[in-house]
Amino acid sequence: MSKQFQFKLVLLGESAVGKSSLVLRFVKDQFDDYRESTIGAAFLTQTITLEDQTTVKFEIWDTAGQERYKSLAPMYYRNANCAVVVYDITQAASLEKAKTWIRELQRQADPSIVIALCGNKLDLSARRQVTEEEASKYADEEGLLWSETSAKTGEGVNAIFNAIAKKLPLTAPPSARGARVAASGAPRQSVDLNRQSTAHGSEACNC
Amino acid sequence: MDNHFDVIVLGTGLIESITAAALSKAGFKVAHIDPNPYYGADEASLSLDELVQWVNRRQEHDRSITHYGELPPHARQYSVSLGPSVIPSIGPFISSLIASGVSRYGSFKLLGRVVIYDGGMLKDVPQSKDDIFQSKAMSLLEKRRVTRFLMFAAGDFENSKELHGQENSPLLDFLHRIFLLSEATARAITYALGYCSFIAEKTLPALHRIRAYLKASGRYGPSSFLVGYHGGSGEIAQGFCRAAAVRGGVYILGRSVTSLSSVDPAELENPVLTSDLPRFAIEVDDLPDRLHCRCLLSSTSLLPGHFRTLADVIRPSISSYGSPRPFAVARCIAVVDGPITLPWDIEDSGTSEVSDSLLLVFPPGSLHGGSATSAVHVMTAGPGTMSAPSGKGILYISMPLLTNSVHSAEILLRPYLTAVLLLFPAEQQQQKTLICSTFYMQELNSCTASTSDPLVGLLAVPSLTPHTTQGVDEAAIVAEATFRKAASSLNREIKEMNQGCEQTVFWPVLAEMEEGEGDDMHW
Repeated sequence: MSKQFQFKLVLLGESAVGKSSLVLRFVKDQFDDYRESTIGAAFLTQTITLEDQTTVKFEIWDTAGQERYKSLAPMYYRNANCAVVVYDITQAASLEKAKTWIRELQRQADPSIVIALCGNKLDLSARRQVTEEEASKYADEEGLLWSETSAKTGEGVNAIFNAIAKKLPLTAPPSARGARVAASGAPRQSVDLNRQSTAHGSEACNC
Repeated sequence: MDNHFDVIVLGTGLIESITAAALSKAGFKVAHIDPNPYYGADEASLSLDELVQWVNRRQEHDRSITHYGELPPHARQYSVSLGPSVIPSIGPFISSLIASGVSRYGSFKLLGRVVIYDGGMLKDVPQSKDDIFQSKAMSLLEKRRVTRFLMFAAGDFENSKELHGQENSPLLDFLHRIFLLSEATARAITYALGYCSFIAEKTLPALHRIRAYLKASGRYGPSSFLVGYHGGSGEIAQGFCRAAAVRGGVYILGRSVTSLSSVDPAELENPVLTSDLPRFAIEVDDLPDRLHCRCLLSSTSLLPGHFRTLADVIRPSISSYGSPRPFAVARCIAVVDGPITLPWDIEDSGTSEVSDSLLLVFPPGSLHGGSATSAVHVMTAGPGTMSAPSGKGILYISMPLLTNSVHSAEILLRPYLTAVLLLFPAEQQQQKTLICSTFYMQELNSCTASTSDPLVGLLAVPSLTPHTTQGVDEAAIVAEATFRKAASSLNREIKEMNQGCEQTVFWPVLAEMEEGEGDDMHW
C-alpha cells in the first residue's frame, strides 16, 4: 500500500531571483516572463510520487514579499520541514544573501529542516557570476542539497523537489499537515475551523 | 518601490492587522509599518528571549515592571502571549478567521476546562446541561433553577418578563432575586459563564455574552472556546499580515516613523488625478524615500500628539454585550517547571486526555489578599498548543482595573501566583517551581472623544480591550468598522464621480487561487 506524507516547504531568497517562478514551474508547469513580484496565493500544493509509490505532498509557502524589509513573520518558519533557498547565478550578491537566509533558517527553524540551495536562471548561464564550484562547495560545508535550475525552461526544477522528498524523513508516521502534527506529537486535539463538530452535530446551533 | 499607497497602517496589533488584510484583499494598496521588530504589538507572541528584551526596553520608561529568574534552556521554543485570550467558537472573530482564509495559517484546539476558585476550593464549571446533572456539588432543586436560568439565557430574553426593568441591575443580584440561585451558583454564572470582570456589572450585557457562549458550545466540541497555538493572538496577527502581503501589502517592521505630515495639495509637483492625491506623507528610519498615502490608519499609541486630536477615533461599538472598558490591566507571565495539571487530573488521568490549556477564574473577593472588586483570570498554556517545550508550562494572570492603582502589578498579583502554584500541584504533590516571572501594568489608551472635524483619511484605532473572552471578537468588530471608514474615505472621490454607493464587502469570497490549490485537492 502506498503511503502519503505532507510537508511544509518555505521559499527564501532575495527579491527577483525567481522564487515564485520556480514554484509556478513546479506546480503548474508554467512560466511568465513578466511576472509581478507577488504570487497572490496563500500557499500552493503539489504532490510527487517517488519510485516506491510513496507520495509526498508539498505545501509551498511563498514569502509574499515580506522578506524585502526583513519582515518575515516567525509563523513563516514555524514547522517548516524543508526550505528552498534561491539565488540567481547571474548575480554574485544574491548568493551572499542566500547565505544569510540559510543562517536565519538555522537560527529560527527546526534543526531537522532539509535545506536545498538552488541556483536559478540557468538559461542565462552566459552571464554567470556564480560558479558551480563555489556554490556546491558552500552547500557541502553546510550540509545542504544543491543544484541549478531554470524556471524558464524547467531544467532541474522537478529534480530539486524530488531530491528534497527523498531526503525528508519518510519513516515517521504519515502525518497530516506538518504544521499540525510536529515531532512532539502533542497537538492531537487540534480543531479544523472550517469543519463543524460531528459528534455534537445534533445539539449544535445551526448559525 | 512605488512610494504611493492607498493606505498606510501603523502598528501590527490584532485590529490593525485584520484591517490591513481586509483592505489589501479589497484591492487597496497597503503599506504596514511597525516600529517593533516583531508582529502583534500589544497582542504579540514572543519567544522567551524576545520577552526578556521586551522587558528590558520597557524598563527604560516603566520602572514598575519586575522580572525574576534566568532564561531557561530552549528559550526560543516558548511562545509567550502579551495578550492572552480565548476565541469564542461562534462570533465575529472566528468568522473573520474563516472568511479571510487566515484560519489555515494557524492551528487551534478547544479550551480544556474552565475552573472557578471560590469558597477556598477549585470547582469545574459545567460546560453543558449533562455536566450540571452529573454534578454532585448541587442539590436537585438548585440544578432545576440553573437549568431554568440557562434556558432563559439561551432564548430571546430581551422581551421577557424576568428581565423587564432589570436590564441595569447587577447580574449577581438579578440571579438571586429572579432565579433564586444560591450565592455560589450565582457567582459561578456571573464570573465563569458571563465573564464579568467587575462586581456589579449590568445584567443585560452579561446576558448577551452568556447567550453567545452557550451557542458557541457544541460547534467544535463541548467547550465554547478555542485557543490558538504558538501564543494565540500574536500568531493570528501574523496570519492576517501574511494574508495582506499575499495580496500585495508591503511590510516594514522594526523601523520607526521619523516624521508624519499632512500633504498640502498645492505643494505637489504633478497632481494628475484629484482622486489620487496623497493626503499624508511619512518618513521611516533607513528608508531613503518618503511614503505617501491617501488614508493613514494608526494605532492611537503610535500617533504623534497633535495628530491624535485630529483623528477620527474608531470606537469599539460592542457596547450591547461589552464589559466596562478597564483603565489598565495588571499582568503576570510566569513559566513553571512541570506540566500543568489540576489536582483531579492526577487521580483521573487515563479517563480522558488532559489539556494544558485551562482558564481559572478568581471572582472578586475569592482570595485572601486578592482583589475585592476585580475578577482575576489565570490562563495556562503549554506543549499542548506548542507554546512551551515538553514538561513546561506558562501561566498568565490578569486583573483588569477600573482606575489607576497605587500598587504595582506585582503587589496586586503575587497572592494569585502563590495560590496558583499551590493549586496546580507538581507530581509529588509539592509546590511547582517557578522558572521565571514578569509582572507589569498594561495601560490602555482611553477612547478620547473624537474631534468634531477630523482630518479626512486619518483614522485612529484604540488599544484592544484586554478581556479574556470578548477581546478578539471586539478586535474583529473594530477592524470591520475601521475597514469601512477607510474604504469609504478612499472611495469617496470615486463614488462622487460614479454616484455609485456599492457597499464594500468585508471579506469577499475566497478565490480558488487563494485556497492554496495546486493540481490536487486538499483533504
